Amino acid sequence: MVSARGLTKRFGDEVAVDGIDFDIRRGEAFGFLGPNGAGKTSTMRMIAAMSPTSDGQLSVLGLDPTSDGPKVRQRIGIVPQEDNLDQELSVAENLLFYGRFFGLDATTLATRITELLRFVELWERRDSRVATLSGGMKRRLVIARALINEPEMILLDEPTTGLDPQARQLVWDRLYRLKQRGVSLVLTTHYMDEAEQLCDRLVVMDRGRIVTEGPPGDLIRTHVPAEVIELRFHDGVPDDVSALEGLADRTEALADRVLLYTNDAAKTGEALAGTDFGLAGTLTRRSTLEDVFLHLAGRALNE
Amino acid sequence: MNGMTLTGSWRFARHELLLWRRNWYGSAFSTFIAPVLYLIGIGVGIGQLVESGGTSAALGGVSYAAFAGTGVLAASAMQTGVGDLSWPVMGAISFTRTWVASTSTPLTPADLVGGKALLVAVRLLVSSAVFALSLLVLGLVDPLGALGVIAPSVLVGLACGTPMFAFTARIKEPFGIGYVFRFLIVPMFILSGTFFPISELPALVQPVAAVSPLWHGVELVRLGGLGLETTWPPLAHAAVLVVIAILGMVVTTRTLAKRLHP
Repeated sequence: MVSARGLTKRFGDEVAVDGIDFDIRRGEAFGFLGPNGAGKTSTMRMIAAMSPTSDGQLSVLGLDPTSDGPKVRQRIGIVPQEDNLDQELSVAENLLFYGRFFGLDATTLATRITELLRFVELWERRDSRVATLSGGMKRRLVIARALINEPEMILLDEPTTGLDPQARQLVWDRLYRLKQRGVSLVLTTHYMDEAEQLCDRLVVMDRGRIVTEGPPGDLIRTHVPAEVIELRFHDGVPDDVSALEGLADRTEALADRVLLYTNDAAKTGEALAGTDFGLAGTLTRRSTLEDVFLHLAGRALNE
Repeated sequence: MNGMTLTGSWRFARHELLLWRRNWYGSAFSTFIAPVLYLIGIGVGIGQLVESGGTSAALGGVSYAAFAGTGVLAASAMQTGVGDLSWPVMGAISFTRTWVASTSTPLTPADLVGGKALLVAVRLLVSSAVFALSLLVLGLVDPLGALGVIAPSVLVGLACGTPMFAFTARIKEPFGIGYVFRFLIVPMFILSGTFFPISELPALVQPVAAVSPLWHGVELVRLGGLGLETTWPPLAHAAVLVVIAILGMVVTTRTLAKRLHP
């Protein structure tokens, strides 16, 4: 569906995307993961035919988004980071005017608006002004809007940033259902749990480049041991943590805690019990994509 | 104007028309009522004072009310043009960002420029027609004159509006628009032959008035409405306005494309 080779985006002297290669297949959920400023949004905007490429090749649905923008946008759905709904219009009217821009006739639109508003659970609010909706409702409406043209692929830029946990769950559930229907999902996120929940495959970006790629599970298995023990200290993280290094396969000292990566948490835990580091608490958990990122980029994701 | 299509511009113009129909009362006063009040106050009120002094020869033999009335019509078209293509555009680009949303559809930034200009032309047509009717009712123009003022009014509205459109598409902060109104639009309103012939201005200032699109518009509106002779050949006045309007559209299209699709 999407294929990029040496894809580059420059703004003046600044290089936002620095020659990346990737392929997105039909029907899959593909994620761009990385901290703010990694180049995720710039990449998405180029795929969405809303930003010309500076260099390299990019093909979306077999078309060049820089020269064939309207044709590309006709067949995809775009969910931007910010809610750019028309606040003065009602929920249904927002879908109506957007749908007309795709050249859809009134009958088709009436049917789709009903279906979509039911799908995102906003049917009851169809006549409310958008300004009166909550953040989660607005995000669901933006998703419904992006589906008005029955797109083959939907691009979501940080779909759940700023939403409360219930609102996030509802968005995730709807995205999951879309995937079941065969719609390709492409999303950016800086939430690890989101990437693990939704993505079949993802690339991790940092400073405009792709650091690694693969299915979330594979990335975790390849890059980090299976489990982590997080240590917190009464007097903050000690300057010298070398004494901890023998206890685990790998250690990572962060500002507020030390992470011990191990393939055998029980054994490491026992070894830890015999030491005296002034621990305020320990937490044992499964390794996640966050750990992969810490390992690869050497810094926390939301830094 | 790369990417401007007839279907795209038409779809966007229809949407803008819908928004206008919903909010027509918001702009009804400034579009319809305020100019007519102006017309009555200045044209008829001041006109009586002025004419008792007997100066109408300098006005080409028409009454002061007719002279100022046609001037105010051109100026009010300018106000509609620059008004519609400044604050509301700024809001749609930077605040509500609905124009970003509109170009995540098959519409291009150029289609938005085409559609918006089309809608402004329609608004100018309607408001000039209402104004022309008022001129007719007050006996300031004959029926043919009432028809004759409409096309030049639409043209001057677009010629003043599209440079503002280009400026608005470029600026990131809204206060620039305020400066343009204060330091360009207001002086233009007063010094473009709206209320008195520019021949009454100091010789030094007269060439400045001649670069004002409003002055060219005023000349054409008076030709169409009152049959007054124009300073330049009518086609030359019209050509200046057409060229400014087209240049404005071209620059807006390029600027807006970079803004909405960076």
